[in-house]
Amino acid sequence: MKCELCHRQDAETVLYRTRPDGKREELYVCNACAERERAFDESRGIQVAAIDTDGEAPRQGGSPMGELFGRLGKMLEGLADPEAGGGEPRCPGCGATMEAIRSVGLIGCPQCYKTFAKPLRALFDDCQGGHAYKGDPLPGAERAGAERDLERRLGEALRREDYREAKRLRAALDALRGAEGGPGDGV
Amino acid sequence: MAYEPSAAAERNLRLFCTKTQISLVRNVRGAVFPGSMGERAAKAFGRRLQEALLACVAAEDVTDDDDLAEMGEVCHGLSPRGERGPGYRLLKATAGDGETTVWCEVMSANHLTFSVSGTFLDFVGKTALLRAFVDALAEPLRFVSAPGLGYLTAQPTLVGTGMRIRSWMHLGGLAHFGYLNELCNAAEAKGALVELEHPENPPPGSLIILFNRFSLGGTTAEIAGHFREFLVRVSEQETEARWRLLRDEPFVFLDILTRAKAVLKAATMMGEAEALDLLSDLRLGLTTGAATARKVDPLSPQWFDDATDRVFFRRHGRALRRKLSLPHDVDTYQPWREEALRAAWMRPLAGFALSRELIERADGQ
Repeated sequence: MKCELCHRQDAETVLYRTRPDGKREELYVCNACAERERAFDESRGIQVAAIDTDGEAPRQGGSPMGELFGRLGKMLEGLADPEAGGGEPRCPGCGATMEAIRSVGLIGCPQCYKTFAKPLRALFDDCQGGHAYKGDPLPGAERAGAERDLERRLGEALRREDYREAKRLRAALDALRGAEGGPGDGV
Repeated sequence: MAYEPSAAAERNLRLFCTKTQISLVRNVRGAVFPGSMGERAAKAFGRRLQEALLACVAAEDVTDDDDLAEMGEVCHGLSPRGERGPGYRLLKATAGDGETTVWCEVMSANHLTFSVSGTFLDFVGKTALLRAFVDALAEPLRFVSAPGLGYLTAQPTLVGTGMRIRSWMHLGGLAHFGYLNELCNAAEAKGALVELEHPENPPPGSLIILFNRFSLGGTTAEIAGHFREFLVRVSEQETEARWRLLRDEPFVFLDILTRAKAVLKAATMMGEAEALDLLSDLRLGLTTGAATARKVDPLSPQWFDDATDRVFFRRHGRALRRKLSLPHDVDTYQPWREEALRAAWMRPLAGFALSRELIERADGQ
């Protein structure tokens, strides 16, 4: 399916536009167009909050204008303070507010867990009787543990100025991180 | 003091628990949850997941787009999908034991729901099997998780292990005596919940859905074990209620069964709720020995599934239309046509006999 804005690239994400009759319609666009619309920050009537970028950067082959607006959008995003406008804080991943999560009963994306850590903890206390995971070991947890151990030993080596050991530990850490990509560290 | 279930409660659990579904919910990294996507985007994402899954597991049955939503509805039969929103099945694969079928679906809230369902009671074993299947996919699919919270899901009640066990229990005895509210309270206290659409009225067929409330504070094996323990307790209460019905209210019980027999024999139209209620009455009679079945086995849990609107016409409609002639030549889309077919399909169940013991007890009363 082609992007519904530039009609050139493949559509990769969805935006929402409010039609004059007040109904919301979906708009399937490429990443470059999505970034451009993000730069316009809803001034053109397109809601850009609920972007599913699937964690991918815009394609290298995207249009130069798209890339330019994309960069501009990122800069604006960096400047924007979610609480500055006096509005409710929004999740940068999906645009959800805590109020929306409470009313719908669904969390928007993994990023919400980070953005609304405190209120969500209270929510889990309420509906699950606690907020501490005591389940089966998560896949990749061993690797995360090994990484933490190496980081601790590296810190100790640097403190006692044992640079040879620090170099060895750094190499081991890099090797471990290079092989990473596992699921144990989602947020 | 540790709780020791009676042997009868354990044995009867097989009779009362008509179906169980164990699900593990997972989401993949780098994407918003389906609830925040548009419908088309969610479906496109589902297709991408289907491709990714097919690269990892040998699937027996891959569902094509056109049939996805509809088949998902039928497959789940009695499950209250309206509450969970539409979902669609991606594929069917076989778990490590070579026998158990694992369904993989995209639900409206989360990316992936892996589930096994059937009449099994080995919850811990099936959970371990399902977990092994899902864990093998963790590396290639990159499930999203956090060390302090476990697997992250769109539904706050599933955060942690992402596990949901649902059991469909036929609790005709407890429903007859109006003990369902007490059951709800007990279930909540024990970390399980009872799904009742209208708490003041028993659901059709006294078929109650129980499911685990917590998925965060224990391992999947612990959750499954505790949940089964609770079901055994419920089974004990239900056994007691059924015996009470036979012992203290034989006249009422006789009335229930004779009415059921008469309706099954003579009805020309039967709605879903009525069919489920009749099945429930029949099961009460058969499990207490107040009635004996001939020819057909009404205790098969399949009857409950098949009698529902969602499953009945799809599974039996065409065959019945060929086999049974309806009283009038009617338009195919007449709404009562399905009910007429259901009444004809249920008729063989009327061939049960009432026990002499029940009749004597009723006479004595």
